[in-house]
Amino acid sequence: MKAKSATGRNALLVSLLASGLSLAMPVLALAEEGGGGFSLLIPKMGEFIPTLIAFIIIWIILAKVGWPMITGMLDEREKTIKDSLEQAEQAKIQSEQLLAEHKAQLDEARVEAAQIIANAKEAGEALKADITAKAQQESADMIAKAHLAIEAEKKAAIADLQSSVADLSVSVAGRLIGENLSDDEHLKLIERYVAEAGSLDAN
Amino acid sequence: MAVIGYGLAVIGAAISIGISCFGATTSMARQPEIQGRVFTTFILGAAFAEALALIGFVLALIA
Amino acid sequence: MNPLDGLQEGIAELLEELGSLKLSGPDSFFISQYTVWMVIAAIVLVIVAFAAKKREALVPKGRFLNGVEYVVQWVRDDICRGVIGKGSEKHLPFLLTVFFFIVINNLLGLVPGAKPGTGTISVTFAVSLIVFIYFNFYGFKHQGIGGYIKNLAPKGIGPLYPLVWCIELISLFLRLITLAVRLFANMYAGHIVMGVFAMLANLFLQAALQGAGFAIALPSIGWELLIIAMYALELLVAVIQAYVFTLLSAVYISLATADSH
Repeated sequence: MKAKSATGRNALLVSLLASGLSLAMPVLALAEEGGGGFSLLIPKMGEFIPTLIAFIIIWIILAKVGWPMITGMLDEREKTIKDSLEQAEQAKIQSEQLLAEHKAQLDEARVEAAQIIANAKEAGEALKADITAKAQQESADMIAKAHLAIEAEKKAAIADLQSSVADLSVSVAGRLIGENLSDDEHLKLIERYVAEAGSLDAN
Repeated sequence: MAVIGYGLAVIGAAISIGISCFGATTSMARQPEIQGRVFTTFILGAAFAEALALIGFVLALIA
Repeated sequence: MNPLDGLQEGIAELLEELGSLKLSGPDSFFISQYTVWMVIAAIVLVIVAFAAKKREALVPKGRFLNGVEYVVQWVRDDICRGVIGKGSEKHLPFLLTVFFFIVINNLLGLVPGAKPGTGTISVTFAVSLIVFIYFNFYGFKHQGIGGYIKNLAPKGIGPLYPLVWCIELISLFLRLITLAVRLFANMYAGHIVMGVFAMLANLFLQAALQGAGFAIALPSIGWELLIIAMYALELLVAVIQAYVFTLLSAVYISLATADSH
């Protein structure tokens, strides 16, 4: 914006110059009357030749040792800035890549962790189920065993009881009836009764 | 007389510089991104137009 | 007493002062105040260039170096590359020298009392002669002597060719004159305008001091303000004329070294 207005001013200025020139003209005409006039436009050798020499000397000096240094430095600076910008750009791209990589890795790790946790949970669940099942099995087994044992005990106890009942009844009967009863016959008789009673019981 | 002639000569140069300035500002306003080129061309055109005024200036001094 | 009475006399004095004054040497080859100021400008230019060169570093430090580099870069990009384009590098030192020589001469002219080299036709004509020789030399070198002379007028205009060629030849030599006269006339006119304004301010103030009343000094304040405005304008003109001169030199070089005219 600033440059634009400056340009506009410059543009205006050049057109102003023409009017500036015409403003100066009456004065020049005065000079003409005084005999100045055209002599203004004749180069004076005393100014012309020193200028030629001075300009050429300056040109040679500056072209040899002045400007190349300055323009060379300008070029070098340009190049350096361009290079460092490019480097920065590359570094940025690289770091972005790294960041993306790291992000991907992080995501992966997160997914993995989630996986691991899920696996562990599953395994835990399985283990739990297993253990529970085992425990249930075991307890069922134990219960079954206990049942069996109880059954056996019961049977044994019943058998014991039967025998002791038989003995007891025999002895009681023997006591009641007398002692002439042969043990063997009576025993058989009682056993039959008891068996009958047991089968009745069982039924 | 020479001064009057020079004044007349300057009218043309002034008009042409004014016109080129008008064109330059118009095109700059329309397309600000090429103002560098436009300005250079404008200066050139103004310089060529001004050259005529300068010839008039020289002639005014000679006459 | 009319303060404008002294104007005619003052202007004559001013023109006398702005003319080349003989300082030493014979009449045909005298050293004038313009020669002295031109040499001063040349020395300033060398000092500026070498001071900038001495401070040159990859990381620029200081306003002076940055300013010089900005101008150098502007001449390189805007004038040299912008106008000549391909192969502009070898013309850059010449154009830089032209620009700096003229701009320093012009700016020295804004120092009160200084008589810068560009205020006389001799100096501007010398520079424009060097430019003229330079671009013609490169034209000959680039297109060959015959080719350059033949290419002055464009091809394919049939019977008009001799006429256009003559006009182009005249305009070629007019370049030499217009370059010199443009710069000189702009500078000279500026100096005269500023001198006249200063004289007017002075005349009104003196009239007041001589007892014509305080009120008559008031216009001199107006003239002072006008001088300040003219200073700003002259500052711009100094740079723009150097720019125009360098730009036109670049254009002439690019025309001379163009592949087909």
